[in-house]
Amino acid sequence: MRRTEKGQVTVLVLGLGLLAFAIAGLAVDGTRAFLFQRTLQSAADSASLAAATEVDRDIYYRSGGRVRKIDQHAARSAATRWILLRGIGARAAITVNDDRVVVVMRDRIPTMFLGLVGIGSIPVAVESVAEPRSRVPGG
Amino acid sequence: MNAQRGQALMETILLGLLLLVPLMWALSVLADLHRVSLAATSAARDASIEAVAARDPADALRAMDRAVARAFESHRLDPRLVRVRADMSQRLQRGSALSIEVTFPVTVLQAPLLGRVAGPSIWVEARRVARVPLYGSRD
Repeated sequence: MRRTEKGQVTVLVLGLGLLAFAIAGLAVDGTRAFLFQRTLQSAADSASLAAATEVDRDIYYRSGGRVRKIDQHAARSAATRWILLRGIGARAAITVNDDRVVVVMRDRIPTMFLGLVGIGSIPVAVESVAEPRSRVPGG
Repeated sequence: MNAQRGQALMETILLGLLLLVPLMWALSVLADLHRVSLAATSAARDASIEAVAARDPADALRAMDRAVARAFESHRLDPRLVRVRADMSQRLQRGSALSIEVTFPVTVLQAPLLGRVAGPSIWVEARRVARVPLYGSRD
């Protein structure tokens, strides 16, 4: 071994160790973000589905079940209630149109390992869209 | 140079034992967590869809058990290990909330090719709050 190569293996091992640590960190924090995203998506889906059932009954019955216009106030209340029932403290944006409900939820999940390289949290956002349906033929 | 004899071998063994083996173990547990999370969220969603269309709470419980077992079997997980908890305090009244919680253990100590080994588990939880349809028929 030449004099200039002294300690080279140690540096390589240290480098590999850091690389292994970084991979493990990415995997752990990535998994936590993924699991949180699934939780948020489930909450958003529940809220949008609950809201989409709030159709304007007068219009619905007058049209023989063919026109399904969402009661915007009731739908917004239902979506808000369902998000609260789920007990997640994420920010939610609820958009209600005549024929669809869109629920967008956003939050940040704190990291465990990525915090060491200055990434303190990972943003997670989900969207759920629901529309009222009817079993009436042509409805 | 004499003092450095065998250093590379020792460092490789240390790296392998202290870093790579735990890393591989951690990645396999994380992969299992992903799989169980997907199964649990699918199970909670499917169970809620079946339950809200049931005639009565007893029928809903049976439908939930079937849906949960189906979801876990399709992910090649043993459905006997699943715990299902349902809150039907409003007895499936139209427009009411029905909450379902599905939990499944992921064993932390797993051996290659053998799978689960006795030891502590991480319980993966999926929860769904669904709304009983306001107008749909219960047939």
